[in-house]
Amino acid sequence: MSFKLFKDPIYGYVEIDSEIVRSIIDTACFQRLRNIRQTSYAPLYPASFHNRFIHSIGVYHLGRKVFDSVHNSMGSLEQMFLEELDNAKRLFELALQHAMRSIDKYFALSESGSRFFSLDSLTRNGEDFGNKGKISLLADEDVLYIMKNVYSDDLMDEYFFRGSRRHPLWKSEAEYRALFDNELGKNKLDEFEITFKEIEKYLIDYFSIPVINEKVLEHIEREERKIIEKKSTIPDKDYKNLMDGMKKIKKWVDCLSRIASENDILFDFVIISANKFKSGFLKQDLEKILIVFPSLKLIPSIKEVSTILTSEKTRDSFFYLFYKSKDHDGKDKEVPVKAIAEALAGELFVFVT
Amino acid sequence: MVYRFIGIEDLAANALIELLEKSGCRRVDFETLLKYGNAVTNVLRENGDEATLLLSKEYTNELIRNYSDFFEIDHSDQKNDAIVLREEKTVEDLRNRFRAFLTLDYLLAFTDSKSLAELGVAV
Repeated sequence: MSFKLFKDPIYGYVEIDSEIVRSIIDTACFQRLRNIRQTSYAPLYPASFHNRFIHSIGVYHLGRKVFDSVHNSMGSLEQMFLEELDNAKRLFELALQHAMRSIDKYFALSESGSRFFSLDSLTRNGEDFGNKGKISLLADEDVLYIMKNVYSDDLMDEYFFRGSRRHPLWKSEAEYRALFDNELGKNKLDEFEITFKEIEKYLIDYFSIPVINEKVLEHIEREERKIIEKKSTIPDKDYKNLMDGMKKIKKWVDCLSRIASENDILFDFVIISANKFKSGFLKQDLEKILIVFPSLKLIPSIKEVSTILTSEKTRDSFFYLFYKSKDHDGKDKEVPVKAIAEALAGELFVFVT
Repeated sequence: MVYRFIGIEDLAANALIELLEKSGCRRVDFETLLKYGNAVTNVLRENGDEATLLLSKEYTNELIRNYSDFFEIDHSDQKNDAIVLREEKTVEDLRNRFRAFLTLDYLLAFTDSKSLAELGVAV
């Protein structure tokens, strides 16, 4: 069996079976990973420049060490189990391919993202966007080009013009609790979060981005008129629900408009639910996975041997609300976060009719 | 043209509202859900909107994580999992949660006769 060596900045030379190099690493789809930053566009680690290519090689290296270690410590076990382990190792090697399909989920859901984050954009032939160009083997350079030139908008500009970016009213769940926990009981807090989660969803459904501004206010008034016009085609129960929903959205959009006006800041808020930052793995799925310890007769689940899944449950609908700390003349503006939180909390006790 | 996405939670909730009201059924399998979703996107397309269904394993996980108070997954049929409405939830709960913040175009597509035909329920 022949190998090829890859120099990893942390682990040194990593040996990889030539067959895996030929069938996976040498493909255009895998080589594409050289042009994708592992830390994406997150500004938190500016010195982190490693790409998904070397990340995947590092994961492969560590994974193999685990399999080899398990294999070497099981000499006396029956052959069938060793075969299962080898199959799992082979599957792990093939899992190198997972990185090839990785794309930024949030951006992929936006209107612009949906159009060029297609499977075709990942291939060599690519996808043709007419006068906007063609994308093949989609990589970071394409995303930056498109952000700057093709689908440039207010949200995209935040990446380049950091001074005018939006700020979150609360930066963590702890800050959020400090602002609202004493003001609101659990039921009101749940209501607050669920309402904003639904408004975010509505805005993404309609505008692709969850921005609340004057345009949304106009849209709601238009949509209300449309629902009234089509009343005869809508079942009574659904008509009532739709109108109630519109009123609820309008109530909160009006509230944010008022907050902006009273604090002399731009009427421009963005809702982003915290779920966007969670992994796709479900605790319920992970905790059921069985772990085989060769020296034990009992086969426990992850939940029984690890405390990693028993950490405190976070709020399911927790969200961030971003604002622009600028006045109408574009000057920086101090924002009284506490007063805004109080205004939001107070709105929960205003009922729409 | 507006380009939009239909999440598995909206699709499942709207399918279950219709199934529960018209046939008393509290579950919808993924195969039926996909057919229903395709019919809904076709209706939207006929009206000039392009829509994509979000039904992958990852979105199904999100459904369970975000709406576990409403839905659970039934794995009893190994070839065709199903989304089941939790016993304590009613059709009114579904309506209040999933048909209040829905755009009108979506509602009309979810309740279109061609979409409902895929669920096997009459208008």
